[in-house]
Amino acid sequence: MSITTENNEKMITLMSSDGEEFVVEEAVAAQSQTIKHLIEDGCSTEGSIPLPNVTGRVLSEVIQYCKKHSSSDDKEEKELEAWDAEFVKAADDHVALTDLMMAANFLDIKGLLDLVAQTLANMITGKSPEEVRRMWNIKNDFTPEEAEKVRKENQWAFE
Amino acid sequence: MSNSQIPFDVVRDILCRLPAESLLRFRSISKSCCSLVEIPDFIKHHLNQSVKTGTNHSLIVEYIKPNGLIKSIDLDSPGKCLKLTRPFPVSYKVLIQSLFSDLHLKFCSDIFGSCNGLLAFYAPPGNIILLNPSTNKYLTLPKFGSENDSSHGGHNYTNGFGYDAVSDDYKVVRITPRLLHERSRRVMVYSLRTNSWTRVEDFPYSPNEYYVSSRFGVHAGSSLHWVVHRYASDNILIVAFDLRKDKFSLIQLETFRRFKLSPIRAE
Repeated sequence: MSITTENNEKMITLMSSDGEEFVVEEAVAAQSQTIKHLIEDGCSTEGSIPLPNVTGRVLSEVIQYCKKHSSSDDKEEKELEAWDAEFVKAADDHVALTDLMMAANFLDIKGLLDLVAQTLANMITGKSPEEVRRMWNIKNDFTPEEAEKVRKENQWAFE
Repeated sequence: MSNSQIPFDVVRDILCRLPAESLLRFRSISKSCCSLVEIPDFIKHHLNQSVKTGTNHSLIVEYIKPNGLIKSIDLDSPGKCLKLTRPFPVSYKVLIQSLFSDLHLKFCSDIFGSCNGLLAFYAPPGNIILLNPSTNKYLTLPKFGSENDSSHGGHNYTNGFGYDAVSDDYKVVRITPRLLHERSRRVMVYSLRTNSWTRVEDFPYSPNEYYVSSRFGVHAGSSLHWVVHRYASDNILIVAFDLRKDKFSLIQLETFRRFKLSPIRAE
């Protein structure tokens, strides 16, 4: 089922993993390659597109991004850059950014993925390996000997 | 969504946007991070990312005194300066001898090329090495055939180092000096992909007519370029070597009399 607005824009409904529904213009949602393909494959006919990997909180942020980027044209590049900067700033911490990154990855939205990945990269550039492990719950699977070997290999870079 | 288990491809997308130094430090995070930086696709991805965003640029500065110290200045954060280790230690005396052996050249470095973050060096006696200053890893090129290179690090050769995107291959080009018993100058091309030298067409511009006045090829596009001087017309021209086709061509520059070829940013 699809509804159309007064402007004759085709609308589709996206459903988050926690059951929240978002009605958006198809052109906005289609910035996600994943959703675009789902629409093309006719998966939206049953009412809404379920997105089992994305929570409502994250999805609303993603939609905010897609709306902004589908309504702006190239002339507003500077303004859009400023908007992007504010957008990632509002995401606040690495947990929110990582959620956003994973959603961008799943939904395949290149611009958003680039933006968030670069923000996270800037965030971790000066950190220690231990800090990064803690940020993302990455298990240190080196034995102490292996860890020492890797550290030694890099040592020259820190002199 | 919780961050309890971050998929590795997400981590990879973030890591490929890091400066080389952080990337190497993060090898210690886990085994998969450690092996990631050695995966050719990731390396290429990181390089493309750097080119796209104009980051990870370094300025290589070579000091003659006291012992040919090389420093790499990080242009993203100019306060940061890395001391590079010359894979082959060289004494000041040897360096000076080799640098001044050809007096009309006044001064030249033993780094004869740089491309995509790799440096090509002469290393006495008669070796050529490729160095990645970010990882401090280097490769000594095999010697070719009957090379009898008595000069320090082969300073009588005309050299160049570049990259061909189509074959995704780094190449070193060496044009041999004019030998007494040979009419033309031989041209050898080293391919990093095959780790071997191949002889290609001889240098098509006769030493009787042309003099190559720049020693190091300047890499732009997918060609290397040298300045040549044509005796008869007293003209300066540019010889280009197409790294894709392994072919020379001549670029006429009638209006120029004297100029120096400087490295320009190759896109």
